[in-house]
Amino acid sequence: MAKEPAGRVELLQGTLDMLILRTLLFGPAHGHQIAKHIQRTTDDLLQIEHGSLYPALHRLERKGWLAAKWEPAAKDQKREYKYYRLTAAGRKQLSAEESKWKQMTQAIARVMWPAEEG
Amino acid sequence: MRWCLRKSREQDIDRELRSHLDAEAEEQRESGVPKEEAHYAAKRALGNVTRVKEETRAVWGWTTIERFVQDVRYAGRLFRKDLGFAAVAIFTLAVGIGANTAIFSVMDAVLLRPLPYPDAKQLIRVWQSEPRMFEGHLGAAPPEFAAYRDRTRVFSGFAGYEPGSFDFISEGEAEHIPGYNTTASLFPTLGIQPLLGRTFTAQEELPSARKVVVLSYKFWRSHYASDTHVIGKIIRLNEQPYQIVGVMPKGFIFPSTAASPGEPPALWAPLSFTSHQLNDWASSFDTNMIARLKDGVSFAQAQDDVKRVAAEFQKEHPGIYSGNMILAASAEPWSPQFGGHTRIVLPMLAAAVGFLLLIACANVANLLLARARERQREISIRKALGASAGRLTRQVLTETAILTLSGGIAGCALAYASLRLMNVVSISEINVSAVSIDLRVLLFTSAVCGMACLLCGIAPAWMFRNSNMHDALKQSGRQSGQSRTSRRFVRSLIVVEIASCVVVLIGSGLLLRSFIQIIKVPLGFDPAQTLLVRTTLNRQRYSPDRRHTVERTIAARLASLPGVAAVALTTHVPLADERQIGFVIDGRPPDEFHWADNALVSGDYFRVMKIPLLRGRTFSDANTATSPLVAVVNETMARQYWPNEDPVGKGFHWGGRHLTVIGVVGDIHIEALDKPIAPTIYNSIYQIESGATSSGVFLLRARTGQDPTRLAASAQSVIRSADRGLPILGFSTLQQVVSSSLAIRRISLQLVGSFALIALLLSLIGIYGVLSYAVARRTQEMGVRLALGAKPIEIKALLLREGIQLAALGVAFGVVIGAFAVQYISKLLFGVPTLDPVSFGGGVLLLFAVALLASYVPARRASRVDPMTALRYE
Repeated sequence: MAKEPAGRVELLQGTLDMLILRTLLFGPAHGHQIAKHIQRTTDDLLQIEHGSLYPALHRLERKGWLAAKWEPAAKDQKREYKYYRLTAAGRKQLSAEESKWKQMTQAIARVMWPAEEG
Repeated sequence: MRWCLRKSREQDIDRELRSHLDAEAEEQRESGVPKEEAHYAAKRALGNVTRVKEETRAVWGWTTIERFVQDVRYAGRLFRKDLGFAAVAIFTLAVGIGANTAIFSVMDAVLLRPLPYPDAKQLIRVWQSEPRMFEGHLGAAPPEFAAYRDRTRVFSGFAGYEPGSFDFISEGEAEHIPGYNTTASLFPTLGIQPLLGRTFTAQEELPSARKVVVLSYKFWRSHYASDTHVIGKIIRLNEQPYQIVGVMPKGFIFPSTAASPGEPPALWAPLSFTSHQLNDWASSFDTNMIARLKDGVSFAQAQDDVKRVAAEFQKEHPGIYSGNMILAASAEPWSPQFGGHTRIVLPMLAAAVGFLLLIACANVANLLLARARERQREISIRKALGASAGRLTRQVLTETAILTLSGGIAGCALAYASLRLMNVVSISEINVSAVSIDLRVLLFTSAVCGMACLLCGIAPAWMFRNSNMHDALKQSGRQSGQSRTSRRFVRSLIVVEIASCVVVLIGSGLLLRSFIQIIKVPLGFDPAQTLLVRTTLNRQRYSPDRRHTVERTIAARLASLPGVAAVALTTHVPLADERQIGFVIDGRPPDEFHWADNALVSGDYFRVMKIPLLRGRTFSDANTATSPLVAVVNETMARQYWPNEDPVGKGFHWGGRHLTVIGVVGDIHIEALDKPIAPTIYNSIYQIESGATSSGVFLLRARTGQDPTRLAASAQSVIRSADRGLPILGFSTLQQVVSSSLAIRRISLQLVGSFALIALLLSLIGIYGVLSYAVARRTQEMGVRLALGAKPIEIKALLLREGIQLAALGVAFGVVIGAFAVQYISKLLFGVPTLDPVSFGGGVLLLFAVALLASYVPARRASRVDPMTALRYE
């Protein structure tokens, strides 16, 4: 399993935001769940340091794209987790980031594999 | 409240991370990891918990405030450890900032504060001058005033005002109230509404109209106890009934301001001109004019318009405005009148304290630099632990800010105390008690503190950023941080200090020499052993005959008092009052007017004042109101107008009268000691009616051994007994008059002198500090030198030379800057050239002496270094 060096996390900061927002499109989740989801979905290819997740979550909450609330866990009513959910503004931001990402990847693809253009 | 929010946010983040760890640990356990292991595995997965918390916290923006609080606490700890350093730095800054605060508060009250009238920038002063005869600003004669009022096109309001004399009798005591006669348009032009009642109408300006008056707030409070039913009441002024029609709001004291010397006006009455006066062109210059610019009109247009009107009416009366009597008119933004020197003295004082602040900041910066060098290791460790350059700079600036803020607060306290002290001294040109430390001054002080913080903090901050970590962490302390740039910094700070000190020294030297020159100026009269009693005899109560009778009676009774050697009368006291008249010499063209100072005096005035009678005789009882008019002139007048002849018997015309010269007396200074003596005409007070003034001053010369001030009480009772209704305005002596005329010079000398002394002291401390530190740092080097055979005297010489080199550089800069700066105060100097070699040389020598003194102790210490201990020190 390739471990992401600390430097790479900085580069992925914007992308991390997008991934978090996408993850929460399915429904509210708490920090641990989000981390695990990303890990599972990418087959462990994208391993995010859990530590960089929380500043990102709080930043998104501060910007108003996420709303957070302490709720008891689904499984174990005794435990409480801080659940994040997408707000309307967050939804709009997600689609904006999606289109930006698509544009960027298309541009890069055109440079990398120009033959495929024609 | 924000703090509680922060705490709860902290707890929230803690809780969240803990729940994360629990979830992760549980997952680990589910995948078979033992319980203990699971816990650590979870922690590993999370990464550095503290860093996560820090970064998360940073998102919420508390970091800046937290860091600031941290810096403040740290700085506090540092200062507590080194209280001496903090005390010296704060005290130095307090002196520098406090001086600036004090001077600025005076400048603000006198020059800078905006006038309390709406759109005050649109108010214009219109004045006239006689370019062929007289430099000063003059008012207008009644028809000229009317011409400006009616014919100019650029003003939306135009008003005239003259000082008036009002005697008020309350409870049998006569009181003299200062006030002004103004046109009705004054109040609308200024834009101020009365508090009660109304202001006058144009009708009430007619000489036949019923007399009305508007009271000032202060007068209303003191004499009518703020009675709201005062409107309509009658007040007897100058023996005539005036009806009170209005009361002005608090703070309205046109044309004075709070900082103007003397009493503010208590009431305003209409200014009326008779039809005779309105046709008497060029008869007087008493009416001052103020106008309001129309919107969109520039000052240049106003100037042109006013000049156009002046040219017009002078062309219409060529018989009157010819020869020397040509008027020039001008318009400028209206501002309250202060003495001519005030506008130079205040900026000069401001510059002096500016230099003082530079010196104080240089000293404190040096102190901080010295400490910064000692803290090299601490800074390097911080850097190694990850502190950014910005963070370190912020920390240094916070420390400096604490010092400057404390210095600023202490400085304000110092300024307040010194203003209270200044209050005791009376300066004829400014009312010091009106100066206070208000919001504007505090804002200025904060700005000065900020600037001082930057000035002091730049050097150590820069040093922190560029300190070489490796060198600093090495054990050998002697390698630590005397980089060449830091040494250059220190030296340039000292050079700046010395240059500033030299400038202030030169300034005070010039002022000192000017003052010495001025007090050497011969007065022309003897001010010792005199008492002056000021009264006023207004025209309504005293007809000319009655006035003369009263004057003679009082003079005779005063002369018979024990302790009084002689009594005389005058209308104007030299160096306190002045009055000019225009005259034409017999035989010269009738439009060749000239000016002379004038006073109406009694016959023995010259004897009492000890002014020598050079030719002819003085006034006697033979010169009455009905006998031919005579005058006594001074030497300058005789020399100027009758150069090779005997002036006695010669004649001249004045104001429609013909006068003959009967005597010549010695010159005295009437206007000011630093102005040249003007031709002077004295008339007999019993012969001429003074048109312009009702003042009467009794001049008593006390017998030798008698203290003149003790005669005041008996003089007062004599006057009361002779005429109960004659108001006594005050007592003083000629000595007081003379010294009061020099007051502003004396005080600016004292102030600049003190600043110079403080600057010298600070420079001494500065040079001493820098050299001491250099010696302490170079102990090893000194030890080596001594071991290699250098004599102690050579070491001393080495260090003294360093000190002198610094001083020389600073002096060079200081002299150059000084040479430019003194051009601005050239108007203040008297009897000394601006580039006076004595002042410049004296300042330079004094500074070198101080530099030598400051270098001596460190030099001696260096020469006493024991080579063995120095070399062993590692």
